[in-house]
Amino acid sequence: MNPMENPILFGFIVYLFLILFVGILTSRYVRSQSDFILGGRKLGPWVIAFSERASGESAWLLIGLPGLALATGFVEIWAVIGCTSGIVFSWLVIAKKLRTECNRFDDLTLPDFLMNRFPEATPVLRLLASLLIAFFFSFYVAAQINGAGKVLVATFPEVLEDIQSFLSVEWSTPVIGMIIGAIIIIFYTIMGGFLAVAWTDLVQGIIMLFTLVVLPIAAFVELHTNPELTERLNAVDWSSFSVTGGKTGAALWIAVISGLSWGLGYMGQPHLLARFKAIRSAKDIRVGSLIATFWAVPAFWGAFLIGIIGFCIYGQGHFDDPEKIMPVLTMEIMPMWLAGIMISGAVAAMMSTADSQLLISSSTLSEDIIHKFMGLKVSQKSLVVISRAITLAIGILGFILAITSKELVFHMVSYAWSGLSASFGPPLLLALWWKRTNGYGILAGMVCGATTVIVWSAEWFKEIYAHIFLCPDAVANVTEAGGDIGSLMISHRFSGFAVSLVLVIVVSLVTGGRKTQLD
Amino acid sequence: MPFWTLFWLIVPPVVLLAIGLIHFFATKEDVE
Repeated sequence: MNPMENPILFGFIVYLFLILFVGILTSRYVRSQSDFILGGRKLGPWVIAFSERASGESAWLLIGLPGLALATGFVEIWAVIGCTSGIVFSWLVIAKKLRTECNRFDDLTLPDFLMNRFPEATPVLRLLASLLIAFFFSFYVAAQINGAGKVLVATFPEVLEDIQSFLSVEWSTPVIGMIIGAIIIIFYTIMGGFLAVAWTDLVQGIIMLFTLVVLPIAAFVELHTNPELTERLNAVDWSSFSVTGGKTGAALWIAVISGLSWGLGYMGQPHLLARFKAIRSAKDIRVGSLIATFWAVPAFWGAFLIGIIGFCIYGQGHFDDPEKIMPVLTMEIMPMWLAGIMISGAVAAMMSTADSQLLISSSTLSEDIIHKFMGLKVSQKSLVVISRAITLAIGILGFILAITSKELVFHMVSYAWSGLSASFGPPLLLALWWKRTNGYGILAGMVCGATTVIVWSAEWFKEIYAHIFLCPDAVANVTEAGGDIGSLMISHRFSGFAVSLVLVIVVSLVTGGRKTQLD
Repeated sequence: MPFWTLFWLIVPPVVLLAIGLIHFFATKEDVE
């Protein structure tokens, strides 16, 4: 197929060349481990804020959230409020303090930060933190590669078939899509490390924001100017659209807390915290937080409105998979060339998350495990070579996981966000702001927070919970409808975070408060 | 789309952003 005849493909190819060019260009500036992991701490607030936002939001924001809003209506607003509040909280409460603190010991990674402040927790803390990051992120990277393959197949089916016949291979088109996605992400992450990831994030963040602001406005105008659509809009029954989702009492509280608790995750994500550590100076955090807020609020509201407007245009039962709403709406109401840019936005969202997570997993293995834990003494140049080799290895592992064990990948991703949030959120928050926090409290919070999230998602636990706390009729209704009992429970995002927070405080107090005086 | 639905969807985030912007320009960076 000739790219010049297909504006979507042309736009996508231009975008791919642009990010590969950034990878090659930035590779010239990587001379030390600090350059590879944190870009030498030279980046300003614009790049860092866009990078934090683009890495923080995967395709869930562009495809998942509009789909949820279409399927469930206004009740999804609580997740939108929770996420935007979590982002603003992270920038205002965590970012500056973390940047200032990391300067004191020249911490490169999150385990570095914890170890330097709480040496009493012994290297067990470094090992545990690194393994948790590497474990959760391998699956996260795999899921993003898997998603990139799916979107490429949905957008360019003929192109992938052409490649398939050109190479004369037996691989299915999604696998070819995943190979293309994986090669691009691994290539530029290996070449430019943090600098490549952050600069490509800037491009990806701009495309994502553009899509999420322009698409709902264009759809809204279309809805009010196209007579056929206006007719459908007038027929919508708004009484069924409520922020309570038709729930009352305890069920309503659980729905609200579960939605809001998405926001708790932001302060525990190592790939987002790395952005705060990498900013040029603590003073730049102020401007960065304004930029990030002005990205997050329009982007989340835009994604939500895409779902609501989709409801007005198509109605709730129109799609077999509600997540198709964003690509379908784009193709229908946008000029082809603009639709190309917007669908690239969905792939951009996946790539910007996958590259950051790939870099964090490889940097924690090379810096925390090989360099610090095993005590390998080598030059900075050799460390960069080791980091690049590990990036390649984890990238290949992610790709193999993506094509072999899809079930496992999605099962893991469902609690990777909450697992990381419970493992690192409360320990970091208290390490920064509560003077009595000690290493034993941090260890207890990390272990029990992660365990709570895993146990909370297990079927046997759901049954025990339902038996003790839930009304049997409600459980029977959900089970008969083929639903998940988990939808009636307080979310694992909230419970994991709460257990971790309480344990850091209680164990720190019981074991006698702060052990090491830093000042 | 009913007026009040549209109002509650658009006005609160715009007002919050405006407050954030005013606060940003009205305060100065504290020197440490």
